[in-house]
Amino acid sequence: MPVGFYFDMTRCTGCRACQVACKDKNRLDVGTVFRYAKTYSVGKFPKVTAYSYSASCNHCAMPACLAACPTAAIYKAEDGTVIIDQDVCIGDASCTKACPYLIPKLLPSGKAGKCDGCYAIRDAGGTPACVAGCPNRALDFGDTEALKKKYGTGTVSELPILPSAATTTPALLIKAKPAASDDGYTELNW
Amino acid sequence: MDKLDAGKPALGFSRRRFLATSMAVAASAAALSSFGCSPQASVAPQKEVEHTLPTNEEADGAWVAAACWHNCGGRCVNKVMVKDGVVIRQKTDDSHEDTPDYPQQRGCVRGKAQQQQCFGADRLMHPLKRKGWKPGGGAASNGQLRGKDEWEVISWDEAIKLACDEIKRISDELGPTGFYCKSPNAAINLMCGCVRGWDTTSHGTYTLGSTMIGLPSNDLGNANDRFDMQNAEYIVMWASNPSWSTAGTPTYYYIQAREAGAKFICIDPLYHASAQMLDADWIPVRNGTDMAFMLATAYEMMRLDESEGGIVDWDFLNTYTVGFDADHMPADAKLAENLKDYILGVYDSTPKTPQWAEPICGVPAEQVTEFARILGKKNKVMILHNYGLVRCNGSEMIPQMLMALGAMGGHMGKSGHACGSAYHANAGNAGPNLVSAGSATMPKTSNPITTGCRQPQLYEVIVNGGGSFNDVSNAYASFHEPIPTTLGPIKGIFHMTDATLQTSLAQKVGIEAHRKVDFVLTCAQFMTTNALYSDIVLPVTTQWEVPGGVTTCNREFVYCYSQVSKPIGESKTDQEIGTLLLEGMGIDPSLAYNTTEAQQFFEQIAGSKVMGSDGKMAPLVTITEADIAAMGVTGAAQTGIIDMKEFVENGGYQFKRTPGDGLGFIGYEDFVKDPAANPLKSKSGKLEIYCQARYDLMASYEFPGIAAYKPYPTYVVPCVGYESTFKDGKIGSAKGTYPYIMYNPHYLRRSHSVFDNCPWLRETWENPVFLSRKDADDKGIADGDTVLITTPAGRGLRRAAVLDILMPGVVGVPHGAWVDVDDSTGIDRAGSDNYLIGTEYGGMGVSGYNNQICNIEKYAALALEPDSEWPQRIISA
Repeated sequence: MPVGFYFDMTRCTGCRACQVACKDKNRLDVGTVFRYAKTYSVGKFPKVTAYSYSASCNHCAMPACLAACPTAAIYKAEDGTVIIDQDVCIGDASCTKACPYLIPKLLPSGKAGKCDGCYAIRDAGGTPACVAGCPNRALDFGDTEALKKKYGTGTVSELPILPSAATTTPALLIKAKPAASDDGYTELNW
Repeated sequence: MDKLDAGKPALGFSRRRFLATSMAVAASAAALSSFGCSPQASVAPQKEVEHTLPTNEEADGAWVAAACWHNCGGRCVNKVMVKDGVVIRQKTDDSHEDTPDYPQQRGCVRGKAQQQQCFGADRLMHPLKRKGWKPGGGAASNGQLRGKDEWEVISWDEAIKLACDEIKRISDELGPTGFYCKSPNAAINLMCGCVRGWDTTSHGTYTLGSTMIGLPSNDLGNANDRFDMQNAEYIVMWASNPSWSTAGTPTYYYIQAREAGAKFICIDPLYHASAQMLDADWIPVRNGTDMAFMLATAYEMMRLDESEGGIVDWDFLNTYTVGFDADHMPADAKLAENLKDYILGVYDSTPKTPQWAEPICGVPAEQVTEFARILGKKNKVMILHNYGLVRCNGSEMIPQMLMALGAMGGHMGKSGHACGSAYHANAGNAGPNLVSAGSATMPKTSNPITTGCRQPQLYEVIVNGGGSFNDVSNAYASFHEPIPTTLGPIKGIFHMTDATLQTSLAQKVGIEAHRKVDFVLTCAQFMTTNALYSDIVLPVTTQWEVPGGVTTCNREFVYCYSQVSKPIGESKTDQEIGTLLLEGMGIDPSLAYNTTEAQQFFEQIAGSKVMGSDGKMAPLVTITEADIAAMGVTGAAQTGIIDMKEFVENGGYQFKRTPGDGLGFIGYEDFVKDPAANPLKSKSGKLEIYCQARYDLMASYEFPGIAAYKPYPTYVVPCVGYESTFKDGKIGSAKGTYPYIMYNPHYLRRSHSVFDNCPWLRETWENPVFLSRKDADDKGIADGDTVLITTPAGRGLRRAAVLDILMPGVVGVPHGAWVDVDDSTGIDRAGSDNYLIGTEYGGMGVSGYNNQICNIEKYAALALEPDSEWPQRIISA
């Protein structure tokens, strides 16, 4: 099975350590994020609850970014990691529009970039920066079959805050909180 | 390093090997089109392209354990790789396998941006002088230009000469009382001395006499250890949001307790990040009114105990406390009153029922009853506070009342039960150190005077050219009998190691005070608030540029950090600056610093200790003669349990704990087992719910409003608080000019004021004002609108975050933003919390950060851009 992220929502506080760990690893200036964490509330005061979600590339089985790229700059590594080849990318931004998760970003260099699952770090035996940097151990990355075995079957690949998984078949396993299945969410702008 | 570019894109992606992918592209496109859900699939390219896989930029670099030294509530591992003067990447702890029992010491969002602090484009590279300032005092100083003036670069020689000439001049005229410094260092002590300011900052009213009532000093250390947290059935987070206030490892302990079955309760005006993640039940309490809620909870506990039984632990109260009822009064009580009879309304004909409390604290009566039942003696409950409720005006007796609630349920001294703080890096993991950092031997210096004044009142003394007050403290949490004191003019201000003008209340008066004096000298890394209102700014290194250091992080971990970089620009270490100043004054610098910084680092390593199997602390690090020679220091070889090389390369040492290892900790366990043999530090040796000593000390200060207090907990109307939001000060009447309660939550962009200038963090955490949905709707304010926050003390701007998770009537202004006053309007664009707080005080003089009053309105004159789009405060001089 291809590689992907596991996200344990029950442990995420929306602290955005993953977001900055990703910016650090990818040397991203202000204005570009490859991973972000957001918090959503459900309900009204005082009957209210909230949850957080950390989002990045889902290394989809059917990546819309890859399909949309006119220069074939986006490819799948053997393990399923979806990667944008900077040498081939011409920066026409097709991928940034095609991805239903809005993950690829046009960089100041004029080319597109996104999470490559810290391919080079993993290849050297390491762990993706966001996973290794999460203080609450809410993220994991690896072969999705192995992740399913490790974390059990109670995971989902889509939520009301996300597009339908049927579009691109994301390699994404979410241990979701009940509140996250509520359509009436409000993004916290704190 | 000349060019600082931390956070800028690096060189790009390197080549490594080629991979043919045309088939992969075609296959994916075919798969997409077969599902018929991607129009792009039909035009997907089929051409032959060869790709490079990403290569590891870190392959031939070395990781250095880098300092992360802030007053953040963490103390985590932070490693950095620097190549050719540019940060390649940071990472946190990966020195051992990560398990829940033996967790890596992972850092937080701020630590990951540490490179943008140390190598920031806004680092001060050279000594600076304010252009309009001239030595000699009086009109020459052009004090009114502080904060508005331009800067010029000067040499170190000139900076030191100008500073020393001014210090000598003021010292000759006025002596030590001619100067003010919140936190003097050895150089200030030896050069001139100073008046100190005091502030109850973090620990609020616990800074006054915690030991007098039987608690540990500042109520630090008497909760239980992390494994015992998992034995609790209920964990109460009272004004405690560990995810934001103690970021790093502590939240992981809370997660483990939840996964072990603990149910969480959040008592806070905000349903905060920790409560959200832990699915806590929320009891929204209006800021500064916790006492009303607590008294009603105690009333309900007694009522339920009478009607249902099994709630109040009378044996615990009778054995371990004094002052709860008339039969158990302390021997020194001067007033024949007690908490129980006050709650029942014996003295004022007002029983402190939930119905009495609700208009004050906002908690529905049935929720009080529910909470009272949870606190009952049959449940295993941990009451863990993080001081937010005692950083309020009128919160003087909260420490005694929180303790009383814990005692009523018998929640102390037993596994699964606790009543204490969850503070800083020890949150969720109390207990004696299993490892500890060594300290370097430094010469002792002392301030020639001991005069201290409450911080905003000291500002007023400076503005007024002198004044009279009761000196009750000159050091943190160290109060004494009042000393009536009169000061003449203060003409010099130093900021050597503090961020006081930003982090202390009444900032606007503080700015006036800074503009009043002849000379302000600041050591700074950036154009901080302190620096902005100074005359000479000396560039000081960060901890990434010193030889290294060892710090105790928590009971299981000591961190050892090493030098990452040579000093940036012309910056110098604190010791180098102190040495130059002392030499400039003709004082022997060895009186302050008699060893090198490398020697001090060595002594910290050599003095580090670890608990042995015999329960005694023994040397941690094995040091050889070769190690000593290599460091170029003096010392003796010693045997520990980790080699020095490994200790330094690992970034310290983590004690490996396991459940049932016998090293757990239960607060008050000895006292509860045998109170006669293990008395507390209070006069009675017990928990003093009625405490004559603490009350007498507080009353002796003769601060405003003291007559309302008793030696036991009562509800007191604060000098500024919820009542002040009403026109006539009466709850339920018409609202006044400032109808909202304002508080200052800790915020993940910063550690107090530190990191507020880091671009990544400004982008990641926007720093809005927190508004409740109801209040925003009432005022026609939407998410992102610019809001004018007006208080009796000042005006500030912030973009709005409209929240369903905030109690209506409460406005949250995140703590620590660097003030940025528009001189044409007097409005602060940055939303500095302390710019909005005035000088009012009462009781013991607590700093009331969390129950100020304000008004909010949509601000039409200006649409504030996100902070991350503002230019950095870079001095181009």
